[in-house]
Amino acid sequence: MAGSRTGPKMTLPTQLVLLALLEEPDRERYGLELSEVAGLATGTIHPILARLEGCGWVRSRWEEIDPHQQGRPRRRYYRLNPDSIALVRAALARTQAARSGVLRLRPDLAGGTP
Amino acid sequence: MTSHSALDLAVNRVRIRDLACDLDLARDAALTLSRVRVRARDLERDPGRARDLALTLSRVRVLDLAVTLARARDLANHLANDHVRDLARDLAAAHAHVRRLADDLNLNLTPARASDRARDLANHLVRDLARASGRVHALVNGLEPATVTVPSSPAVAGPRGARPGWMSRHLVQRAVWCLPSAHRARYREEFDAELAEIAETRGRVRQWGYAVRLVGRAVALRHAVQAAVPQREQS
Repeated sequence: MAGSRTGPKMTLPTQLVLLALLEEPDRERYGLELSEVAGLATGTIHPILARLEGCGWVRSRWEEIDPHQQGRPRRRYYRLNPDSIALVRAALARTQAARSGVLRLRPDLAGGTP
Repeated sequence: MTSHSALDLAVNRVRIRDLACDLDLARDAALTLSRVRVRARDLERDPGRARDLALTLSRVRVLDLAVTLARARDLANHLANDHVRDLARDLAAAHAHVRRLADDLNLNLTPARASDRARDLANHLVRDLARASGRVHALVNGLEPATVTVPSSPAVAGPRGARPGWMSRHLVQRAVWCLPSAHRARYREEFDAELAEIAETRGRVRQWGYAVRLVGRAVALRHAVQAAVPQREQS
């Protein structure tokens, strides 16, 4: 079942997470891995993933291992909901178009002063 | 040491730790830029898709990186110290590279030219940030213990196979405690797995950074899970 059509608020970190997931839509990644790929600090990605999961754009599951045998806790893996990929791409496209327009008007918003 | 100078030292220690966290973020983003460059070159078989993918990914990350570097540079400028002035210079250089990269991405360059420029700037950026990170971690390790109550000096990267430190585990438990009771078990296990991996592969500074950021984002995570619609799966 596809997720919510409106989706979460498309903040920059949210966009980075979605782009990271879209790089390989069939691939599952756990939180630390996603933060590296998305270029976000570790520990800050979980509210984003929770919102994406809440609106149905992302699914998660536990790693199927025996923690005692592997000597480490099991990971929580995330991947895009296949039924929501089109919604994700459309939302990113809308955001990119809006951002390009803003930056043309206000190039100073692209970063701090050198 | 007078109480006033001890307080100044404690404030500077906190600022330097914030700087270390910002630099970690900036370095991670710069390494991601390098990976994006590699992926874009792999897609040269399909020039149209390569251009769109490389420009889209790079622009979003580069703008975020520019904001982070500006914040780190401004923070370094607040600290009156010769070593930190060198650090501020390194950060300014890194920020200038990022701004040039952002400007290039707004130009109508050919895919090959854009890829070459991005590669060169990303390589410069990774070197600048590695140098800046080294200065910051040397600063953190070189600070004397303060008489006020602050976290003790972080150790350099621990040996492989190290368990998470007690303070990091305590902070993670605090973060989990902020969550709704129905979600605590899941996130406790998830955070424990991530903290264990950080302890295994990185240092104590990274463990603390991870745990502190979890605590800082605990309220946001609480709101996010409480607002979840019924589609959210609990496996």
